[in-house]
Amino acid sequence: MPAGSSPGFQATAYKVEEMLGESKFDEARELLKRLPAESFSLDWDDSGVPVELRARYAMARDGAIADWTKAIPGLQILLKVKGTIKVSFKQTLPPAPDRVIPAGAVFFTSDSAAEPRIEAVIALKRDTQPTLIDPRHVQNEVGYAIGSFLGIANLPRPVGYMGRMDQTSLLQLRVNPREIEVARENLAFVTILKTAVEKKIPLSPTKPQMFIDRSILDGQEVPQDEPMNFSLEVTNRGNATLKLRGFTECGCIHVGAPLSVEPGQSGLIQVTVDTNGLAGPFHKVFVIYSNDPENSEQIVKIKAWVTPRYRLLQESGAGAVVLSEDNLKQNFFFVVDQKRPFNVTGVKVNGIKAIAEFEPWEGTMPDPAIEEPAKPRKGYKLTLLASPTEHIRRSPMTFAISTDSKTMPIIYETMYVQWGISAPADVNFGEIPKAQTGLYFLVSQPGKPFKIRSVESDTDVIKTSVEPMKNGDYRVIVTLLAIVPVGRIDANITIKTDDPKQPVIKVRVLGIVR
Amino acid sequence: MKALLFGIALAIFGVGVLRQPAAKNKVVTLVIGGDVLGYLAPCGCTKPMEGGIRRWTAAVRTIQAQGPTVVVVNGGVPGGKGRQNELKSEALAESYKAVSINALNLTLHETELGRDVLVSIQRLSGNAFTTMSLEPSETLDASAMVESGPFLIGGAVSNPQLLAATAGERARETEAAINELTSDAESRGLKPILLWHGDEPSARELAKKHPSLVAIVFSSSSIPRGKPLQEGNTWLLTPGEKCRALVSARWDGVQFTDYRTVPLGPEISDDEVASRAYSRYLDRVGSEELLMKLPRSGDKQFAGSAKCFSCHEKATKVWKNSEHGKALATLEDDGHDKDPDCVGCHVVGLDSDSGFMTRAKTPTMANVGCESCHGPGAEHVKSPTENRFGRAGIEACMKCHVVDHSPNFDFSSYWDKIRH
Repeated sequence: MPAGSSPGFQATAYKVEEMLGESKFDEARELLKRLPAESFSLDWDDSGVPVELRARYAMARDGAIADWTKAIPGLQILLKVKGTIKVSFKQTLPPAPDRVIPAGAVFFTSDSAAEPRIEAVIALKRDTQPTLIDPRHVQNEVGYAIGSFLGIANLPRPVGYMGRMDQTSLLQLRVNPREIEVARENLAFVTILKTAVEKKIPLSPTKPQMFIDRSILDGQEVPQDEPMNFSLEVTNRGNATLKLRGFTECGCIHVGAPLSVEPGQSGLIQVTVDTNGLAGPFHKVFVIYSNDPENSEQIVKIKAWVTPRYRLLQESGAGAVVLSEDNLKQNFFFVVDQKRPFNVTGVKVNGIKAIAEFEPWEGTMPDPAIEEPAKPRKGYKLTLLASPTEHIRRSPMTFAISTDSKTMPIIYETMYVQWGISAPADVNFGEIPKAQTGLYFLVSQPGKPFKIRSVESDTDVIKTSVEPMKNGDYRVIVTLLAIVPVGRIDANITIKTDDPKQPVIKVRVLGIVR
Repeated sequence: MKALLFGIALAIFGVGVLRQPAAKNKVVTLVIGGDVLGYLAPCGCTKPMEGGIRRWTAAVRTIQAQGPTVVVVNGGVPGGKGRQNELKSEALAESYKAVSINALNLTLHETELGRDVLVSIQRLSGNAFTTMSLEPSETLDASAMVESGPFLIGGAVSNPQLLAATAGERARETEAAINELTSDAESRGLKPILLWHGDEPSARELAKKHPSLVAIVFSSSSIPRGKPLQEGNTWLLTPGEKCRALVSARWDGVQFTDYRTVPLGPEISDDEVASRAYSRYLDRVGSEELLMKLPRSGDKQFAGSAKCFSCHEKATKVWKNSEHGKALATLEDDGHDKDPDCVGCHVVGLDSDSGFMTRAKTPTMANVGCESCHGPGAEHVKSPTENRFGRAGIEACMKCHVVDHSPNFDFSSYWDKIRH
């Protein structure tokens, strides 16, 4: 029995096995007809659908059929009255027992030959404020009905037809590779049962029983870039082979499955989390699908704290690094986790005119970003040397740190550097109506007082004024007058200061008047 | 006439016109967003992709058209520092303003961009910033609490000291701030909601300590689940991250009901205002040539795909007919060919001095080439037998085919498409 098959498929398949165990071959043959086959039929009852919508819904149905037949070559789905799957429509449906939102569709699975194997009833209107469904909802529900007939378990996310939802979202689902895999395995399993029925081989009915020792994996503290490995012990307390398959919500988690555990045995599900690029708290879940009919899905949580393999600390604490004419040098500390050390082989500066030097370093520093108090640390001192010829105002700057680590050959760290009087390079009104509108921006130079002599714009539609602030900064107020024409705003503001090194500062004004 | 119709349409769909005011003690839908982390648009390399601010904005408008709403955003506007993140933040703030969000929690993500950008986000978002983690400031005119409908909403972060240090402001102690929120709410006959930029365990602790909070919106990298979490009577809600889903819950006047997570699939039409903000963002990324400003290193020596063709004929044929062989064209068609977020996975060696610059300058580095998966090949080209080309396995695929960008990636079926 494949893992990832639905509880309905599993229950019927076990019944067939039980019948084979009791040598009830004729009954087993009949019940076997309820299980997936490569060729089956769909009974389409659109009598409940308004006439004008019928053609569009039928096209949606055909879309779902085409998706499945394309995904699984050999699959044949015919339209037929009294088909294996029946699809009909109702105005609205009540919510499922544990939900408050009205159901978008309900699906019944039956073992009775007098009924369709899967009956889907689709609500024409869904949601608490009933909204007419779209053909895409119809395609999703028909796709789900076909997947249900093929015996595939629900998916926790809408990444395939089996991840259907009751909500009004119009996400167009498709067949997921995992669904194809499970459907193929189910069909192969049915073939085995068929052979047993035809050859009248009495089977001993067996069932696996999954017991997993934990539902939470606590990785505690894990170094970044070191795979986080967990072994989840699975015991099979049943008498048939237990099969498992994992489904993760993050590409960083790898679940070592499919895995088989023989009856009475225990096995280990190997779970690996790739922590490259992660840092700080880690909370994710994954689902284990099994062929245990009583416990076909189990959610397992993973939590951990990923200790960064490196940190870049600023001598000046947090926030932008402020340089001045007297001090164009700034030290940074590239702290390397000594449990998994690596060497820095080069440092380049990108974004501003500057160079960087580096040398091995040891010292005591806090790391406020991860709330670590001052403690001894080891790594490299990076010294930034800004060019004396360029006032950079306030700019993002990136260190490109080359290392001898195979997994992190280059590490990029971006921060802001301020030197001289700082004002934004541009200010953006965004999209605004044709009316008088204002904004302001700040002009500052921490630790070095200065005066603004004048502020002017290069257009009549923008007026400017200046307000000194208590902390020595200035607030420049920009007013866009109502006479501004419709269209793009692209103007310049010129700020004149008393600083001989930066007598003029330009700020661009952007926006669009609609 | 066309212009007149356009004007009317703008009046209807413009800033917050459709939003109905939420009255005290009335039924209201609480819509939750946040932690977009710069994921303004879904990467379109595999369908169906979820998410994006254009869809989020459209989905919020749909809810707003149905009745009173309170829209809260739990910070996490940019995904990092640097110019592109600044531009993203402005575009996102404009989208938030388009649906008149009621509160935007101020978090470290925003303060790290610096005061200039904070001021800009604050204005473009419609002055939505709220924070109880900082003392009132002359520079950033953020509200400590926001009254909206039946709620009093306050924002806080798990590390106020760091927030203050990056914002250049003074921090405020969390417990005192939340006590003020709950007592203010009580005295004003409102229900307190905390926007908490912290994880689920810390949100649970706060819910235990402050049981009068009707909801705590917390941060999580997990995808929002089909059922809400609760601690006592406090609902713990999260938008997840990267703007993949719209999360909402209905307040019926007494308690929350009707929790929903709506995946933002491609069938949700893009919102017009958010789309225009997004287009302007892309224009700015292009005009400021951010792609050309990416940091590069000289450590890796790429040769370009054309150098491989003469010896590897069979592989060349497969490659030319594959999606990899036209990967840059797909970006060009989408208008993302100047976007540093996207181009790296559609060309060879974008982070290298010897890699892709532009299609015109480095045509043989365009598209996902041989070296995208096998690694730099200049040495191999010089001496093929002495320097064997690296073998590529699933790890090479996973550099780009990550869940965020390629949710249906399955090695065996994808390998079949490029087997060589």
